Amino acid sequence: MKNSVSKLIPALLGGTVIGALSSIPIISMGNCVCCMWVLLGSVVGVYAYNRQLPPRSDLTSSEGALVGLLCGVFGALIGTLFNVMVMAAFGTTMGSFLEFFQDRMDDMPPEWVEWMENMAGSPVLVLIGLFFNTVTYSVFGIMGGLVGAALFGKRKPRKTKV
Amino acid sequence: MKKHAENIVLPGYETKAAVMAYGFVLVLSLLWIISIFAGAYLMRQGHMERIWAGLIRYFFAPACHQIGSRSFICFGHPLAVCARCTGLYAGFIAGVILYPFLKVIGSQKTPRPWVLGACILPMIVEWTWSHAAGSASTNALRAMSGSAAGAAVAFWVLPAVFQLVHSRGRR
Repeated sequence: MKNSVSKLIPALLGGTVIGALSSIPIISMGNCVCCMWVLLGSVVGVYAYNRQLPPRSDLTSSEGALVGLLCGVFGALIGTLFNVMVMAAFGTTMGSFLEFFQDRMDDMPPEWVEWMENMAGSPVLVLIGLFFNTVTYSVFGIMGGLVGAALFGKRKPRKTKV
Repeated sequence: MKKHAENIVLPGYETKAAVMAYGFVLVLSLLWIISIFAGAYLMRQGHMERIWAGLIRYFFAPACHQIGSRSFICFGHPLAVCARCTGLYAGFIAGVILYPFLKVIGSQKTPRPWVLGACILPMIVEWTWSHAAGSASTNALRAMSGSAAGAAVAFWVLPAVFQLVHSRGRR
């Protein structure tokens, strides 16, 4: 059965969970574990979508993947917005960004560090981050959506033509 | 010819669409893993290439801690993601490549959820053991436990993609 329920509101809900958890300092490090907050936000989105479905309709894995994908896209947008706000409140984007990277990687290319320093405060940097987050969060959002569909979807015997 | 449990006969256009979708997933996942190795390769090149290496690391940063000591060394530099993530992505590609040999391209049937749980379990056990017991795990162990999970995920992703192709084709 084809479901005509809107995916927008559940995706916004999931995206807000992703964006909020991915921007709070320290807590956002949870994303280092296979984008944990993205997976969680997508599962929340799929759960909300599943609750909207009529009683007799089943949640398919493709619907879960689509909701997860939308959660990832909204999560990247909301997360970037939150990030800019958090950085404006607690310090410059550049300072914490470089500190974050230098702590983790001993052999950061000095050319890259120099390039980033030159780009400090530039909206281009925010846009690059937004683009990268959109791609990464979308991929992991699809995974989270599939997990959500596996968790909340009912398994029904399929009619197949033999 | 091997008889599959879910012996589905799809209309011609759907089979073609499913094969194209399969190819799309395969190419995307290959590009994904190539870029991980490209990050390490570009580190040993010139000025501009090293900036690209930094950009690749920045791309993978939201999904991985990228700690050098927990990453495989390639071309004299750590890969853009840790050993566990490398295993996950490599496992996913292995799963995608193995899929046509184990199932039918276009089949929308997913394995039981417990299979995914069983494949993720080694990764959870390895992570918990190394953190709780304080014993250092090896990169090989991290990658192996990750690859089992990655391979299993492919058997959920591909049926979902085929289902999507199928539902779009019917509109």
